[in-house]
Amino acid sequence: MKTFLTACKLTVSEYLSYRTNFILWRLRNFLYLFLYYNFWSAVYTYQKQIGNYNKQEIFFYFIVSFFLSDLVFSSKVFKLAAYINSGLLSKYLIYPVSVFKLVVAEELVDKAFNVIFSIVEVMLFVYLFKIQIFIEFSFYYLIIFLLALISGILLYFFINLSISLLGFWTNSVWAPRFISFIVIQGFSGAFFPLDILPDFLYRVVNALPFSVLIYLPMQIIQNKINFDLAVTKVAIAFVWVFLFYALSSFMWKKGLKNYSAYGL
Amino acid sequence: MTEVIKVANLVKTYTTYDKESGFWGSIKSFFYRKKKIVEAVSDISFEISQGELVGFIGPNGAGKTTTLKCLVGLLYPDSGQLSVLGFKPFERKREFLKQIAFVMGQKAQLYWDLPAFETYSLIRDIYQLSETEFKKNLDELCQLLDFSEFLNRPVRTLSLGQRMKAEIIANLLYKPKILFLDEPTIGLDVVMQDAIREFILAYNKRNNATVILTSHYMEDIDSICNRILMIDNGKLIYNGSKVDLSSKFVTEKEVNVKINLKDKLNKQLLEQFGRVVSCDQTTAKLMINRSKLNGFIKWLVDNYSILDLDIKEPDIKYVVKQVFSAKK
Repeated sequence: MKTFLTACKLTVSEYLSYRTNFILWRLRNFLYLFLYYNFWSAVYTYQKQIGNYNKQEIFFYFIVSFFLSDLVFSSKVFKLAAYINSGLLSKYLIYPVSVFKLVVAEELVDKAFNVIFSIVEVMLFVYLFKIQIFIEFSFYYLIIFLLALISGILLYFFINLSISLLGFWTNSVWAPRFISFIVIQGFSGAFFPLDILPDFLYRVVNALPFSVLIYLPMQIIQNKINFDLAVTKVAIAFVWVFLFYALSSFMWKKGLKNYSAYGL
Repeated sequence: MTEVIKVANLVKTYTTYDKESGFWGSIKSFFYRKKKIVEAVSDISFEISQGELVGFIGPNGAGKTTTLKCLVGLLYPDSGQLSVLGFKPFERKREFLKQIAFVMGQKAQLYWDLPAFETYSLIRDIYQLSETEFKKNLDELCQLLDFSEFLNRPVRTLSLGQRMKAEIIANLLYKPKILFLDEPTIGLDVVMQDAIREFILAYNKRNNATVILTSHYMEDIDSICNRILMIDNGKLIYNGSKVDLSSKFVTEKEVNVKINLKDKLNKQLLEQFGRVVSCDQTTAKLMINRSKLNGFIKWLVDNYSILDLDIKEPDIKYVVKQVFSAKK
């Protein structure tokens, strides 16, 4: 635990050592919010309803999903691919501690930073643009929402980990990471609610695991899914988590045997 | 002496592929790549005892670093038996990793943007050192390497030499029993190289630690190691003392002679006996075949008034050069 906390402390110090980078990183997020706001305002100028969403609901969706995206998609695990390709992974393999203890420490600090600043940014944005946000749901819905969120965070971690571990077999994971980033984010519901898609596409997207990341928790928080179905979907989400966990641990074991520690 | 490293019939191969040069070569390699199996280490066996200072030498790509990587558990061997401190390295058991250090001259193990002290505090926790132990070891290492004033500077602002010192401290804070040093003086100036060498010797004496060193600077090997493992094309071609190395591979001895001012050395005459490395009127350096040595000394004594005569084994740099240039 002490190692874990020290690793967290070091990651915080690393973040704070580049002030300009840090400020610009947060400014980018604020610009995203601004763009979304203008996009949805324009879309709702001539119509009152798109699919199941009126203007107020869609504003709620983009603001809360923005916050959830910051929480779910903030991840540092992709650095592992670079470590494998550059041979820097050796540094971690030599330590008498699990590599993942250090990776998870970095991951959690990254999420903590994102969440803290995201809350401030979203609140500031809501205040400046006078957007009304009401969250009203029962205790059971809250529990199932939190479970959906946890499954989403874990799922994204293990998907990302599996992609990063491709580094054991290929010299660059840039392309698979880039494609997966677009597919995962696009089909997760981070950009728009998935049920506004045409029926056929919606069914395809729903069969993929990515809707669990943002769309499912958003459906729960907006009361757009009945409780029993939500429970089933969360249960399926945990099955996906387990599958990607099994895949990444298989890849890790196989990959280590393939590791050549090039670059040393 | 207790053997801490046992290697028997170690084999390690890599899969790589050839790519033709140029644009067309790149296009072709996009569609088809011819795989190539490279045997980096081929049937190597040796043992190393506790406290030994062993130099691992050979040309680039000979298999030195691959062997070290197998010994520290970074690589899985294809076949053969490996035992380090009684552990199988590739299982990477915590108890094993706590007792070894791998200093990689070309790789930074420190957090680049933070002061070295921050990495040291992580190492303290990873290796479960008590605060007193940590402080004592850190003070001792900083003093030996003259590093105290750089402890709180971000690593990226340190010079190459200071960074190497910082790396060495990071690797020795927990007092490992075996030190694997891969090019520890690479890129350092001569003063810093000397400082590192002296330090490694002092650490070995204080802790009876085993040191296995690879380096292209023969001065490193010469001043630190008393045993040599020579490797070429993945095969171990020499395993023995530093002293016996030259007699095995080189038939010549180095002779330095200084004569009285009234005499004059004649280069042509000297060349009858061997290769003249340098020669002026009163001093000469020659490489003379061992079989001709007695005759040469007799001739020298008969013809010159000798002020000084020094006969020694050629230095390690010369031996290595002879061995590998002969192979080429």
